[in-house]
Amino acid sequence: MKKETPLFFSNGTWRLFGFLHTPDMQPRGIAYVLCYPFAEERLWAQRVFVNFARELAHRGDPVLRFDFKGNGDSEGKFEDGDVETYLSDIETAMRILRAKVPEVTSVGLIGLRLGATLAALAADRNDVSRLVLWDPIIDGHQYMQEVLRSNLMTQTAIFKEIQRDRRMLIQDLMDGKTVNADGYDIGRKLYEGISGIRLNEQMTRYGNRCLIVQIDNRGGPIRQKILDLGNKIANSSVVNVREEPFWREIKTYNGKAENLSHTTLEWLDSCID
Amino acid sequence: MMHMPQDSSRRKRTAIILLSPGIKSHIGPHRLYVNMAERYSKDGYVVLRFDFHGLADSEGDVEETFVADIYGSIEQGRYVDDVLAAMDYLENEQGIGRIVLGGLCGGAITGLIAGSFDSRVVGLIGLGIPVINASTPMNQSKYMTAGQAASLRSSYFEKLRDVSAWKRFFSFKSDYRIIWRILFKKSAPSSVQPAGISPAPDCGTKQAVENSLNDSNVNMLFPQAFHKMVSSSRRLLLIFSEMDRLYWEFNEKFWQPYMQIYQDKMSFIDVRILKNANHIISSPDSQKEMLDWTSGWLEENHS
Repeated sequence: MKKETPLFFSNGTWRLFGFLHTPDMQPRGIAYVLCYPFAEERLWAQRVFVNFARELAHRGDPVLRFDFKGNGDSEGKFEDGDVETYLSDIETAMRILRAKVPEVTSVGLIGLRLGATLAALAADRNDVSRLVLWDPIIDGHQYMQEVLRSNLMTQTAIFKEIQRDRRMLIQDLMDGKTVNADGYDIGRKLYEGISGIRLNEQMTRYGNRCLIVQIDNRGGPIRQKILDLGNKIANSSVVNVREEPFWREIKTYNGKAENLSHTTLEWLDSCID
Repeated sequence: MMHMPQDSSRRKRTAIILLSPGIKSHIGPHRLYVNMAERYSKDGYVVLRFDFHGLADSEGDVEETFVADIYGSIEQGRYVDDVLAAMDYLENEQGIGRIVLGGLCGGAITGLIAGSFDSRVVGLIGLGIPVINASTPMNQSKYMTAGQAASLRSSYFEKLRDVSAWKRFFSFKSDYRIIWRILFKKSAPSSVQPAGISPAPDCGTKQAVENSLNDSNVNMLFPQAFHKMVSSSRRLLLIFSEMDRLYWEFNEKFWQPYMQIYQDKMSFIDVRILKNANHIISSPDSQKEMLDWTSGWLEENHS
């Protein structure tokens, strides 16, 4: 019988929370770690992750989806996490998955947005057999500027004016203070860590198969940065999938991302030798 | 997710169940429920957080296409049975039959309705509790409160210089009824008569309140459940964020017109406003204040 087992597992001094999905048949050999996106995007995307994990398990592939340090149900405060702790969390999750399901011979990583970026960075320095990047964040600096923008928007909504502009917020971060974005306290290390990400420059070693998905609700052309990433990763496929941005607050409810799920599963099947 | 008191010798005989807001999970926006649960378990309470069926980690499916329709059905008690099941679980597994329900927005109205059905609920912590129906076909402009109209008017004037707002306007994505009403129609001051609501009835009966509210967009389950909870001496702590339209709706459509009915029950009703806070209580200062208030209220009434 398919099982979903909630579990805590340790990474150093902190405990991470996750769900292990195991199939009701002999596992096919490969298992997947799912990497959630950043902050509130994780909550909006949760049901898509749960349903996708269930689909994978239904097909015979074990899955571990987990919360990074200071995120979701894992221990720690949000401001305690940074890019290095997140990468270390992914590596720990991969080890736990292998330990919990001994039949597993290889591990793949699947991530969304910043979770995809972190999955790619982890794959570049670990033994990862498959890599699926759902709308990865390629330019970390640009992404963090968008995150700071949400602080400015909150100020405008509450105070009817911007009391601390972008420059002042960055100065606060440099002075060791935290800056709140949608309720999440961001510290200097996290800000600098994400801002420093240039995925197209950092992917140097990963050589196994990779699917890069641009998610777009209008079916537009693939962005140049996504194409560049595809060129950087030798064994990659780049596709555009029409899907609502389910990691944000939108008018429609998206418990499943049918197109994304279908495209990804089809690609995973194509990887089986 | 169950949180047990850190010091078992200080364990209270009341447990707390936090009810998820809208379509979000037991984690709450920006981990609000994690912080609440950690605070209350430190205070000695057993705290349970869980996902409603069809959402987050739970089993089941959601059939609706639009989020607003899900919100609308939540306001009609969609998840009340799940709450009763969670209370059964706590009673059977932990032997606790006194429960305080807590939640933000949809979690708050779910808690109020569930509490009105079950006497194990001894109190409610309602954060930003909605009093109106939120489903999609509603003409929101018709029922807008004076406070909402004033705030939207100021926001629309600010948008005059925003190119993307004009693009949206000409792409027919804007709600023209709302724009028309707030820019060109004068709304009555709330002290005279809130929009979409009849004057308060002379006699202080539940039926009179319901008759009066029937013409407005107030969710009729709200006054019914409110009345049932308060008249059976269960305590309500209702906290609203100052910048949240849900506060204006509560205040103008329900509380100001009808609070006189509950004069002899005021010791069971505690309404507080978080200054400079938004709906999801995202600022750390507001969140700390809310945690202090709720923790103090629990200690005072349910220790």
